[in-house]
Amino acid sequence: MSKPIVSPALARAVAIVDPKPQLEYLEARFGIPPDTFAGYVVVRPGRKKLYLVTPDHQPPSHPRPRTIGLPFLRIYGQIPKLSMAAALQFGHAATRNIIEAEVAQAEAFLTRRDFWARPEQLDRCTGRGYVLVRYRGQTLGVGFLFPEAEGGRVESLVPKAWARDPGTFKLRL
Amino acid sequence: MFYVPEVLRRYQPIVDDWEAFVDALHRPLPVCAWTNTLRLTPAQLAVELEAEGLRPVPLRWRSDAFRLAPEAAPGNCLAYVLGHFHVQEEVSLLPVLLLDPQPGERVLDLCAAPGGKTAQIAVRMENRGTVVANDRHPLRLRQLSGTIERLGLLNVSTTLHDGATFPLESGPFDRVLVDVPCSCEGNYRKDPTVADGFAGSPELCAQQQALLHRAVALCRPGGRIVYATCTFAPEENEQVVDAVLRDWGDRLRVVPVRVEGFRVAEGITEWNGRRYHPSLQHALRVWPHLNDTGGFFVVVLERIA
Repeated sequence: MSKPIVSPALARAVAIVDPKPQLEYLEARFGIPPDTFAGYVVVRPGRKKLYLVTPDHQPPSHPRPRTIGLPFLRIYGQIPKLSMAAALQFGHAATRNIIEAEVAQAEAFLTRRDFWARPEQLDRCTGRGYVLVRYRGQTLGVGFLFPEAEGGRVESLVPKAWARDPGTFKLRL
Repeated sequence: MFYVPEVLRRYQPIVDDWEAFVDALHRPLPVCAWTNTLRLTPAQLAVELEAEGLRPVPLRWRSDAFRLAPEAAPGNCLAYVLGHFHVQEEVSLLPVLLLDPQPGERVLDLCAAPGGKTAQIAVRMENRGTVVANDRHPLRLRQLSGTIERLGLLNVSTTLHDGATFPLESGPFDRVLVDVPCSCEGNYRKDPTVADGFAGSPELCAQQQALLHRAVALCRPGGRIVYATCTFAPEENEQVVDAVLRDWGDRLRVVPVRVEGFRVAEGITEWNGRRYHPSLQHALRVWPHLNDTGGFFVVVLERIA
């Protein structure tokens, strides 16, 4: 991946991160080609999260930005977790560890409830860990797969602020 | 004739059609959804909204935005979750259209939360360049971040600071939007309690004036500043701009603008015996009955030097 030219203001305002290990992880787990992120810069404005931003971006140094660009990965845990925002934006490029949900499963996922995936829905999954949940080809977000003998449980990792209300949410499409 | 709260009755002399104004205040407000053109075209969104049973009608003055019925709850459909559109009052589309941000520019949204206008700016800039979205309230700033994330905006930084003292070294900006805290009278159709109010209170007006003054100071010479409120109160509108125009003298001017297909009234140049700068007639006043929206005030300024 060729390195984009970073604006001096961006380099002054925030730590620029070498994205190689993160991009290798995303390729290994989800099959997302590193080139998907060509043209963006990975930055670390705080401790827990990496962000993706356009290289011509010129944030102020003072006041120090709270966020810069789009949340990319949470790097606090043992395994990096793709953000919901990045899953929506780049999930289309993934080729594995994807679960194509049916309507009831997608409704459960978006209302932040676990759902059960049947064995044939796990054809493209490589094992326990983060998965992308899709519905009618569109990436809805990130879940965590706990495989069992037959099928597996998928925990919805939709952030609370994004979760739809289980009482009223119904997918029509 | 409907009941009209005392605080709104004082506007009778400056409203062109009082009966229509009062009538509009008591009608439910239509819902408006604008397309995230970073993700899909307005035509594709229309198909999705139609499939949800929301019966979208394109706005006369903005083909990328749709009017929905007042009872519509579009936030609960898949297209919303996927960031295909944002829900925002129709009249709130006005200031960003007039700000006219361009891809690659450096733009400041001084009082940005909850972020709908920030998002419009970022989308119009085609996800490139720099949008700095500032607000002084941490919780409201988080709400703004949620909008950035859902819509997939890669060109926005958020800052937490009092807008009126926003550091000058962060500038200059090509364009500054200053959508100030106000008495919100224009939201009466959504929330009649706004008329309980504090319209034109001296503290509020002083804060608005300080914010606009700082917005001008942060803008580069030749750059554009858009001042907006959602109130009818001249004390928070023309009077604030008048004071800042006096401070800046010939280094700041009001830019005449018009919006094709959207009805507006001129800014006023006299109120309660006070005269305002004559160029304030080029400000835009939106009364609810003119386009069946909320109320609004917006003025475009250019910093000359």
